[in-house]
Amino acid sequence: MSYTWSAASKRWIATIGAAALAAGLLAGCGGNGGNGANEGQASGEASTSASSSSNPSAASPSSSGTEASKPVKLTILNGTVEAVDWLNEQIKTYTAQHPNVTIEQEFQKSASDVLKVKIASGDAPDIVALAQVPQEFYDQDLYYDFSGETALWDRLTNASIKSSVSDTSRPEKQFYLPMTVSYTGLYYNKDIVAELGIERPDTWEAFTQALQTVKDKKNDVTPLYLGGKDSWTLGQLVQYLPLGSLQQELGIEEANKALIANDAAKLGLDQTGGRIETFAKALMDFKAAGLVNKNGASASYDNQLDAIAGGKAAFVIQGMWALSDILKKNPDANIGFWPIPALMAGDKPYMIGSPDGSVSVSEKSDNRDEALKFVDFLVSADVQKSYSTLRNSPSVYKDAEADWSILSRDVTADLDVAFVASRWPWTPSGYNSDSIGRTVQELLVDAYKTPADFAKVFKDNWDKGYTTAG
Amino acid sequence: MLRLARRINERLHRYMAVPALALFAVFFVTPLVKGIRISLTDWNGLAPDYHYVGLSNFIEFFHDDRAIHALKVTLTFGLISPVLLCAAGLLYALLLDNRLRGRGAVRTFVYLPAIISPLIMGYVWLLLLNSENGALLEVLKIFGRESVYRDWLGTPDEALWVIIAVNLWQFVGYAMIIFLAGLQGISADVLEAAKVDGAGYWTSVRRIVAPLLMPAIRINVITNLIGSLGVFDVITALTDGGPGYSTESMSIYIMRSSFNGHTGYATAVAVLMFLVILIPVSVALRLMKQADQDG
Amino acid sequence: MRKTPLAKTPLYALMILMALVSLIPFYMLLFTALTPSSISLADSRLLLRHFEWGNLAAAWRESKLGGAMTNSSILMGGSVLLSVLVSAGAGYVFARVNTWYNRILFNVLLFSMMIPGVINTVPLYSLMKAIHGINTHWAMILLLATGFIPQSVFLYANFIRGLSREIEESAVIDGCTLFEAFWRISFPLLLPITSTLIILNAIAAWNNYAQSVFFLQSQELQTVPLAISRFVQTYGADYTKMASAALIGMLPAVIIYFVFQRFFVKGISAGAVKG
Repeated sequence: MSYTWSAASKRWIATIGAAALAAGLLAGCGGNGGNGANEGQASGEASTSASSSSNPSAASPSSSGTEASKPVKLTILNGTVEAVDWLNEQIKTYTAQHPNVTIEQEFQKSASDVLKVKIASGDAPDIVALAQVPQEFYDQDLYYDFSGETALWDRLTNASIKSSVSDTSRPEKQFYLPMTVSYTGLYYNKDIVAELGIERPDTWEAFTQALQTVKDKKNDVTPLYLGGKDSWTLGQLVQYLPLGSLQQELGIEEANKALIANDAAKLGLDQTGGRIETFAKALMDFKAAGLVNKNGASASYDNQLDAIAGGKAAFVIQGMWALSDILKKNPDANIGFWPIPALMAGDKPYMIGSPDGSVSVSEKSDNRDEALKFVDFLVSADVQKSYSTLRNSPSVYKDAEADWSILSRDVTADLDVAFVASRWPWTPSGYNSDSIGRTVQELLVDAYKTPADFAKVFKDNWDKGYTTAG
Repeated sequence: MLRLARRINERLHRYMAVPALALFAVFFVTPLVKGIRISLTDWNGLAPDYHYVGLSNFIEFFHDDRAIHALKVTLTFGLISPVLLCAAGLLYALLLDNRLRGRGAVRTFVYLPAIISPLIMGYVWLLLLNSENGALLEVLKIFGRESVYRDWLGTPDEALWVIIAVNLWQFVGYAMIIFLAGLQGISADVLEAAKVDGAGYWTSVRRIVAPLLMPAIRINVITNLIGSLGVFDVITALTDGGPGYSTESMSIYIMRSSFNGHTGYATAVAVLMFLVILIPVSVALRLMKQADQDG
Repeated sequence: MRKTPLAKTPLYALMILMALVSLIPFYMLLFTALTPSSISLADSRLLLRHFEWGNLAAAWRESKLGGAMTNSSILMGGSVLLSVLVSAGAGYVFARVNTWYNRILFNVLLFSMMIPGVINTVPLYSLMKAIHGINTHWAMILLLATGFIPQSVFLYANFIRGLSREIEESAVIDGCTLFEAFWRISFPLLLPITSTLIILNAIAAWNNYAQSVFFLQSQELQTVPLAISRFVQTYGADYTKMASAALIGMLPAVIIYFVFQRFFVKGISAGAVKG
């Protein structure tokens, strides 16, 4: 009997050995996500010249063929889901022209958060596209400075765009390249507005009047629809209205400085009768008068788009990015685009026309130069034309003009009337539009008795949002 | 050679726990220790440097209104849900403990929701309860009872109850299965005897079945306590902690703080959350032991 | 088996009600998946007039669901297999070898189930990076398996304690080592527990999101939950495609459940409820 068991134990050991071998093989093939290319972070080779310096060599368009054909792998982190397929196409085109380069795209919903974790663990991607890089990383010089790329900046439709993508702390530097301009404004239902004889409301009184007219004359239409469950929609209202007014008063650059420095005197956040209080009062009044949807705090962004697309809402305050979804829901939606009515007396209506879509390149990457070449390709005229069409937004580059949407004429007219801020009002990283929106949600569910209460809480949260690093 | 193999083989059984413990040590204990270290710093999650601040993170917790509120939300959800889950699970199990045909199918269907990711189920319920076009609203309209509908998810005090209900719906099957397993072990004779003695249904449930179900009750209470106190997905899907912060649980607050530049503090809150789980579980265990002894 | 005091008819009615209540959201999922996306959701009906089967195909394509299902299957199979093997072995040791250090280790394992996983997230990332485990199948399998260990060891140990030692001892008399005796004789007896663990852990692995989102970053490696989440974005959720992807994505989990569920009740009973 024992003889047989010995044979059996031999078999056992063989099986386990085979399993271990198989496991080892599996480990080997789990490595690269099927990319095939060598994990070749060409250590040291690609980055001989121009190591982290603030004066970059002009990124010349890559003359393929003459350069070294050693394999290069680039990683690109993308934060915009609508652009995933588009980016893959561009990658395909580029790598066909440059066979030694492989580019791996990683899409992440919360790209900024993931970026924080990656950098904290030394795993920074070579390129960050269409996602916001937290300011701290720009401050630490982790990203390439494009300020010297005159050939590129010359292509801008408007020279001031360059300054609007300047780094907030060091305005002489530009750490990312813009692609399109995205506008924010007041979507309105053309049919309802025409029927009720409403004209473009430039002041808040006019706006309130318009909303009241809609409520009185059209029973089943929501005058102004809020999609508050997605708190960023409410947070952005704060950025458009009270902070937009601040930009108008101080000027964009000064306002930015004051925001970053938390200059309490200039910001006047909890000032009696100040902007935040006025904003809170306006919202509370709308709610009391039934001019916004009752479920404002729990209706979603999706509901909001449904409402404007389906004619259930007369007005919606949103950005151009919403257009393609609105049209998907209802291709025949007859909507127009106005600037946002001025909250504070004496202001011009607000619009933010800020560069949208961005590309940054990691300064510390071993493949920095190769990455720059790819970015060059990405911002070239034809590629940018297709991006502009994709996002229904005008390109920032002269040579990339495309017919970007049905609202292009509306927007052109609006630009004459409004105060167009070329950048979004800055918010502290610990109190961003998501978090601000949550405070506004509280307002919508009657958590605050008076506008002053709201302003006080807002200021508290705002102050706390300035994280002291370290 | 064979003899060596044989000798190894003879001793091998002593080391069968090693692989499991090794995995546990590497992938659980090591990060945990590092995590506890982080909780003693003021690390903001990004900068390469940080300072040790001792227990100040823990002290700050008690002055942090939002954290205390999160604690309340966690305790409300985390203590009420297990009670409801066990009660409903027991009820379901008692109902299904029969000889009717089709009980296996019903049992399967009732457990099915537990298979789906809570996040997805959350979204489905979101669509169902939507105040614009949700199916619930449609159904109520059909019956002319539209006024019954309220925007629960948009009302701070009521949203949490909806979340509790959705969670109950999803996991009642799990509690039920555990009780069914327990019921299987109760012999029919004991109950026959009770019936002969004149005991009614609910009396025999209380006096006879419940004590015999103690192991099942224990498993259900502990598992559901731990799971409910750590709730994350279902709240995120239904309200994302809102409106405002009214349904923000501790786990959600920890995640947000961690990524908002307060990583050290967030980890400290996580350590405190462990206590929030440990204490109720210990109390529950003790109470059940007592109930067991009192018979 | 006890008899509930209700008559057959009301009992049947209740049972059907129970089943329906549990199934409603699945109907909702199906409904949402097959709704044409250009009809504004504000016009939803409870019954579909027009089934847009194309949504399923579109969702499959856009989220690359096929690859995601392959990835999820690999992770699920690997982690469940690994955790079953190591936990059964550990369960045996803790059940049979009652030393003081074993008792402590066992309690540590149980204790660990109460620790919120969120403490581990950031340090875990550094660890995974250090062992070059990011974006790999093997590291993810190890990580998932680790998560399954405490509960699995508990169930196995509990059940094995209830098995008489004679089973293994008589095999030893016949010439096996205890190691062989366990795997050849006892392990097959653990089938109810193993089935239960397969159901619980396979499904947990299949649905895993919190860890996958951090450690499986490249598109080729995305798992089913990651693929589905692509449709729920900050700037606009496409619920139709999400529902389609979710429906297809849950099929393997449902199939596994149906295959192993006949042992489920027995397994829970044997491992958790007795003793």
